[in-house]
Amino acid sequence: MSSADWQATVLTLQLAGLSTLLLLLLTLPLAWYLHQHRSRWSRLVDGLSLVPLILPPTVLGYYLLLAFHPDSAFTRATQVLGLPSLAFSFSGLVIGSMIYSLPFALFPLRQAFAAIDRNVLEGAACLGCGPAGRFFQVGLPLALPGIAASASLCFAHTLGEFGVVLMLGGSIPGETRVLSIALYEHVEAFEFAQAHQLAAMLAISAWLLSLPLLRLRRP
Amino acid sequence: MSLQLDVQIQRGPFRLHAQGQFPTGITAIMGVSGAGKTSLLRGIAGLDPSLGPILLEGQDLNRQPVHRRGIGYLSQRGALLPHLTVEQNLRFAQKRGTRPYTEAQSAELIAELDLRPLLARRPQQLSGGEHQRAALARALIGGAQLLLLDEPCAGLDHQAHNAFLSYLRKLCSHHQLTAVMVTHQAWEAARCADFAAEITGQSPHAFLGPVAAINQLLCEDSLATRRDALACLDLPVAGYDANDHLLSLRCGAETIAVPLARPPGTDTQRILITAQSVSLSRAADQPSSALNRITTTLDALIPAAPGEVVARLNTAAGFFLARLTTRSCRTLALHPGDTLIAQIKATALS
Repeated sequence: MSSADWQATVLTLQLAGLSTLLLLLLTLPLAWYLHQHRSRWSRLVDGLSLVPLILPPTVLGYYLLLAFHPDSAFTRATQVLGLPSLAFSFSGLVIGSMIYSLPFALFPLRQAFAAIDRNVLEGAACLGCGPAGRFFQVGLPLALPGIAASASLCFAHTLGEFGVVLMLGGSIPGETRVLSIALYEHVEAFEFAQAHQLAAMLAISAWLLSLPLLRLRRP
Repeated sequence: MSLQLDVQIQRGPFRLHAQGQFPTGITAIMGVSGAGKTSLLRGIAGLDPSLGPILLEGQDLNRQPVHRRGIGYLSQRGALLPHLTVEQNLRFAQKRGTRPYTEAQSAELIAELDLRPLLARRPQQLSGGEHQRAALARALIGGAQLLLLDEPCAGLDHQAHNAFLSYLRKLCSHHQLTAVMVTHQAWEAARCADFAAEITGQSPHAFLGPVAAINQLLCEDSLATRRDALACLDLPVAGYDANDHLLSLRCGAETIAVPLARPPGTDTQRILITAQSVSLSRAADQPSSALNRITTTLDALIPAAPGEVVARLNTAAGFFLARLTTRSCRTLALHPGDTLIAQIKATALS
């Protein structure tokens, strides 16, 4: 494998790992909150979280690109906060991936929390377990299979991301040239041996990542 | 320690006004399905909102969130944490309790509930009765003095049900607990409760009646006319016949014989007399296989169903009930105030 492809592989793993980690940190409390508080607002959030699932990735990428444009209100706001420009950068890709994979992270968690017996949580509350304790000592341990599923779905989904990356990041080696972009470029250049390598790598990792999902089907 | 409350509970169109004082001992809350028994317990525990004071040792629990109330709560399924063993569940509660048991006290509690062989098991490996027993220990180990039980024996078989009630009684008298138990079975209340209250009236204005001695409530019109109606009497032990395995209990000047496999360990025994197992006659000298013939005064005749009445009978030890047809009532020409002989088959007593 060429050093450019290695670089793309490392970059992709970094992108997928970081997106998954940040997304879990965001969606774990969010899913718990939505589980604990059922209101009109929580239904709205549930509905909004579905949008990235339905929106074509290129459309999502296009809107994010507009948001990250140097003249946009969003960019001006981030500049006031002293943050670097997000267009065509690794950080921009992380944000794009997080939005793109949000439903894949949130839904298994919502399912896992919903599957916890209400009696168990109420019982813990009566024993003196406060709201934070119920999240950390009851919710998280009982949702572990769901958390594993959420992480692997999210990671796999980010590995194969193409449309959003192409729109938002282009193909800057070491910054935004991820595996799926590299694969696309090899095919464009009729380099089928390299394309085969990358495609096989993505396919095998997809299969490996599907293993944690099997645990979900156990009763 | 007693619990005193005067609360309004509202959930959608349902409204319940509960007022009363629950003394130390077990109080059974009775009432038909949907009367609001569970809502009341959830209100006291803080799992659902309620308005008004809930005083325990002079402190208003309603000012505290659920996790600071220090109440033992047991639901239909005991709700042990499924990822922890029984022992870890107990530690979980002990660590967070308001007045956690010491190691010696915990060991005693575990022994009292025969939990030692179950400590290393996970909740999935327990039977229904074992689960509830472990949950009972877990509810107490944090030092709760008030125990709320929401039909804790729902779904248990008869033997496990009886065993659980025995454990509950033993613990409540040993630890001087105030327990409030929701039940819809009269026999369950009669089997273990000291006091009872009934939720009367229909939503939207249900009302929790005053707490009274259990037998008094069981013999009131609304419960006496139910098909499973029964009375419970706490009677002093007079003697035990080891040959016939019969226990004699004193009921005023007379005795009541009850089959019992072994001599009892206590000075008083509670007997449950179902209304269906009692027949009435005018004279005592007719031969009969019924061992127990008790002189009673007819207190009231309560219409129960088309063609059936319930006779409330007064004895020196308290009320009990007899369910009769209106025809036998007419044949015997029964009137309140009559002196009657109640015949009770000994084998129908428990």
